[in-house]
Amino acid sequence: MLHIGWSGLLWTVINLLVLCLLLKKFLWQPVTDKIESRQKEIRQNLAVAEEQRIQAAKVKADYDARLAQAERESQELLRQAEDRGRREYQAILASARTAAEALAGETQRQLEGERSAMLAAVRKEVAGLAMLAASQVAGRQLGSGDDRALLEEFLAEGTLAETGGGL
Amino acid sequence: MFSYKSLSEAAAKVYDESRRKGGGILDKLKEVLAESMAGTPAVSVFGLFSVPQSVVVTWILMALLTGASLILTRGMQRIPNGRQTLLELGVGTFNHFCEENLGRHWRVFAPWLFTVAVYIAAANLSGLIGLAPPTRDLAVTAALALMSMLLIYGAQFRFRGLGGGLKKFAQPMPVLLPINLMEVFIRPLSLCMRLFGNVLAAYVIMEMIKTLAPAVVPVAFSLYFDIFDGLIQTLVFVFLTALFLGESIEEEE
Amino acid sequence: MTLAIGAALAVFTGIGAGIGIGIATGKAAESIARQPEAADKIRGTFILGAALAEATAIYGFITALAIIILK
Repeated sequence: MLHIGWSGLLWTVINLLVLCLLLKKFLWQPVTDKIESRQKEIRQNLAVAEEQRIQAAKVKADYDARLAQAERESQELLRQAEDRGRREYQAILASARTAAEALAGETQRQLEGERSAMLAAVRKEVAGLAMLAASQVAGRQLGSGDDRALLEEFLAEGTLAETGGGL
Repeated sequence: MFSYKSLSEAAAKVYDESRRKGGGILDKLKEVLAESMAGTPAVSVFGLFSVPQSVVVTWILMALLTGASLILTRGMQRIPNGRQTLLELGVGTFNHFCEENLGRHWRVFAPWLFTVAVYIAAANLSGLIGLAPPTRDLAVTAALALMSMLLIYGAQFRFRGLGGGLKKFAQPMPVLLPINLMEVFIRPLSLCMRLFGNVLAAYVIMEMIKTLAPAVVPVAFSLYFDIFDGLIQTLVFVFLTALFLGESIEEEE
Repeated sequence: MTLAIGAALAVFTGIGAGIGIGIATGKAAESIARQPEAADKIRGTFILGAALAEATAIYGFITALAIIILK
């Protein structure tokens, strides 16, 4: 009966070796491979994610820098435009002022001219009237040029003395 | 002390006697014990040759385990579903355990340890589906322990070379040489007897309980003796094997 | 009669196993209370130790059975 014990032992050894091959092939290996491939994948994904994160940070920094640059440029442009506007405004204002002053001066000169012309006419008229009155009074015709010139001179002196150069 | 040979012969004698007589619980226990120690009754395979019953049960378990592996690993995906998650959790935990105990060479030994774990667990639980647990046969546990020891000392010489392997017996100090050499035989003997004894004891106690209280009571005890104890013994066997293995291949500092 | 006494003596190994497992459990509980974060490692060591201690009881039990039955 002893050989049954030993044959059982031998058979069990064979069985265990066969079972080891079977379980390794059908259970342990596939599952372990699966786990390890997933771990590898996760590690890779994490590495890629880290890389992308760094990349994104770089892009963001770049973008921020560019944004700041654009901001500065626009500020500069705005300032320049403002400057130019102010300068043009000043120029326009200045030219308008000179034009207005010129116009005012012109007008004044005109007015003065007209006034002096009018005064001259009035004086002439008054001299005529005075001569007429004097001739009427003297009973004789004062038609000669000497008399008339004399009167006008007189009137001109009188007026100048009266007004004192006020005009 | 008794030798395996004389024990087997005595057991065989008692087994034959008890077979002839039949009868009460003591006879039945005698029968079981004799069976366990002398090898389970021979079963003829297609009339060609005869093998012990435990071997036939092992074949059934092998077929079941292989079938279960094929079904369980079928259609595994990148993103696991519930079944695959459980499977991966189990195998992953086991691999982690191996890595912790065996260091960087764990991959070489993991399949064998995995096989031992699955086989012992299945064998210890096979009583639940009405099979006679093969681990109740001393030949089976002896084979398991023997293989584990061959693996352990084989690995010791394989990884350290002949000189290094021999020197390992004199570590941590030369005084321990006799003890280390004795361990070569004590370790497999204790592995083998522990597993066998536990399963047999659980079986004997369950039979006694069933005789005393045939109804509901055995269920509660069956939970402990058949399931818990069976799994704990699996754990212990694999744990000890991994521990010895890790010790024999651990690298010099 | 002598066989029965021998078997009974063999079963006394259970005392040692009981004391051993008791001490192991007590120390394990103490250790977990002191270092709850190492509970997993302690549990593993404890189960191993308990199994080793329990093995002696099992050896005694088998010896007793062998003495009685395989006389």
